[in-house]
Amino acid sequence: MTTLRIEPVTRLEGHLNVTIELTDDGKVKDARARVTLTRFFEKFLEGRLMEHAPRIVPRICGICPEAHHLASIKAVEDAWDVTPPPAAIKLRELLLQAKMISSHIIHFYALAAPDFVFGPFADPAVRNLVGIITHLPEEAKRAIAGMRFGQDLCATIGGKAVHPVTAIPGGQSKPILEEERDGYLKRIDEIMDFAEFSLDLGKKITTAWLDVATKIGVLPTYYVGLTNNGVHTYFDGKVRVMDPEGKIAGDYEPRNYRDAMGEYFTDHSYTSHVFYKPAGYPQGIWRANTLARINVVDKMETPRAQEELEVFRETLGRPCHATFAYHWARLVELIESVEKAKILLEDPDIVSTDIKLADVSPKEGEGVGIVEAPRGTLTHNYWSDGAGLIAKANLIVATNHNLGAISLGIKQLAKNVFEKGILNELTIPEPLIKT
Amino acid sequence: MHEKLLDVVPLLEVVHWAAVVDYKYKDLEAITDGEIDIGFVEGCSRTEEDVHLLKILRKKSKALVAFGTCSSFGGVFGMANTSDIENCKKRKFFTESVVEGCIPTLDVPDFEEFVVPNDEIVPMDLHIWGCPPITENILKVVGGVVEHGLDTVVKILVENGEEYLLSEVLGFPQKTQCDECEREREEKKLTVIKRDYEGIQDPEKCLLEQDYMCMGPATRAGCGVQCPNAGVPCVGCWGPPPNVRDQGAKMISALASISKDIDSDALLKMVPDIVGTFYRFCLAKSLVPRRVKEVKVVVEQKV
Repeated sequence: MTTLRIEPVTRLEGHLNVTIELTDDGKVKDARARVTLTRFFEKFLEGRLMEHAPRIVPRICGICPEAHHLASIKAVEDAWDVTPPPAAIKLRELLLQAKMISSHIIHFYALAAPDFVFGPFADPAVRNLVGIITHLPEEAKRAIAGMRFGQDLCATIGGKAVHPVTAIPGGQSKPILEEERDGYLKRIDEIMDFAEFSLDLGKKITTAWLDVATKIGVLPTYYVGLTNNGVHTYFDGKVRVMDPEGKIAGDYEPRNYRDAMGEYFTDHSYTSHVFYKPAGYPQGIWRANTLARINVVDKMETPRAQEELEVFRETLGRPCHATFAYHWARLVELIESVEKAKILLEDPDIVSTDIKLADVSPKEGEGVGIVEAPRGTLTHNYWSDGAGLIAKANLIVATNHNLGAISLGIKQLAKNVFEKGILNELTIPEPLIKT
Repeated sequence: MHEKLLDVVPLLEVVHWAAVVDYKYKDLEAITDGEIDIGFVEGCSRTEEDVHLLKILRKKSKALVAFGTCSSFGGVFGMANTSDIENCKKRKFFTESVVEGCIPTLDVPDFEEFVVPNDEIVPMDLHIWGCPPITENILKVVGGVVEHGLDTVVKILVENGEEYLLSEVLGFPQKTQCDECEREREEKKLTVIKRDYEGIQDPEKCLLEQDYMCMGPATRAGCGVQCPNAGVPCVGCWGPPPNVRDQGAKMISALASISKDIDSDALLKMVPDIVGTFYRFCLAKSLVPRRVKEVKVVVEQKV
């Protein structure tokens, strides 16, 4: 038997290793995706003050600390029955949109683009962000400016560029100033132009790679994502589940998340596989993140994004099972986030200083906060004691929703490559830049 | 680092950076010892794999930098040290939403019993604090090495120590957060400690003097006082000020000196979570860095 190990999987935020076992006659015996790290947040949150949770949990993820900060504050306020002033809620939503703008741009240009620009078989020394910066300095500059816009806005609202601090039970600790708002509004049209440029590029790449996209990584699964009565949202709504045939399997209130989400631990990964509980494991394995959100929604929230959802669906259908289509879906979402950020920045409430209740009291109870992180649905669930200390915490983060499907996808790919020799049959486009 | 990346990246030859570059662990292990000029280590050492990589990187690097608070002090993950690892596993792998739980053992690295700061596992040449470190400080270090040359920087480190290099050569402030905070202070004494959600803070006045638990007096400066400027107390993510080992003890002593007519016991009762308040980032580096399993008390009785 031969064992292949990919240690670590690179251009990914986190710790993932892959093991593929081949029998002597070249069959795939097993393929495993292994997350090799966990840090026990559920344990060390016990005994903390509830209001400290939103300032601790951002450390779960360096890419999406804003999503954790917000899922956490929603869980705290849900447990204590606190509803912050409307302007505070708008600030929080803008914070999440700002994060999506920066994260979606980073994903497309820094994590994904090197494969398309230099080709999947290029030298690892070139096939990365450093290569993009060196060979495509103009595009890299625009991408960094776009990412910067999102991160700056995160810092203005959240108080820090990474690991935000401003959401406290009852509201926000700091308003944004009119001149700050004006500064972002001045930059937003340029960011919209860049989002449109990126979407065009994404469509061109998907078209060029269509042969690969329709032959590799086509994986029928369930899908999960938050919607507001069917409308695409990151911030507030019900958890919608779609089955592999495209039927809506259910819309779940955040408080009932455990009716929809089950966790299954394998013996080889510190991250669980989350699945659709009524369907059981492994039948109920689902996916989250861009493609899942684009599959489950009836429509997008903003007009340009809605037009692009229609183009996406005309081309790839609904549900779309092609893993490759995550990129395109991501860029449709990028358009919406820029449109939505503009709408929020133009809302007079966004500079309101009425953003914090003076009177907030802890109470005993359970709270659930669910938002969409860039990589998928994110759930924080805390149990508060009467003094406002965390008695218990349960977290289900985006990666877990995807890991079951990632494992299936790797096994499917390994069979295609090692048993069927698919790499020889694929039409792989010439790299944009030959190295 | 945004557009600064455009200036810095072409100056560097990146030989390992899993989130950005496609080199694998075996490529790192194949590098000749001492051939990497600077290694940056982020994150705490929670598993045997983390410890292994830390030791490899030490061997391969001329200078090794603890990048960030997790790497320097253990970070928030150090708070898991108040439980033993078996209880951590029991919680993690068997929560309310777990339908089928188990403790994974196939092909996954074992956990370390406790989080130990990286510089207590291998020697570190330099620390860049902060959760996360800010761009300006990363550039101070990378820029300082480019400007003075690695050999000079290492020579200063060996001859004069880390604090000298940071303050005199690289321009890091050697103060506390309070020294850089612009909120007004009136030397008002504390009589009560409020929770962060109580009332509405006055953005002009010292948070401690408004009775909010701000870790400024026990925290190293250098971040630009970001949290108090955003209307929330400092929580100590830059670690203790120069020449202080135990950040929490420093804060408790600061509180004792500014509280009025109440003794420290009464004051501490207003802090329902000592670990999460005073040791959120630096428990693993404190004087009592982990759960003490057995306490043997010997009392000598004089007859």
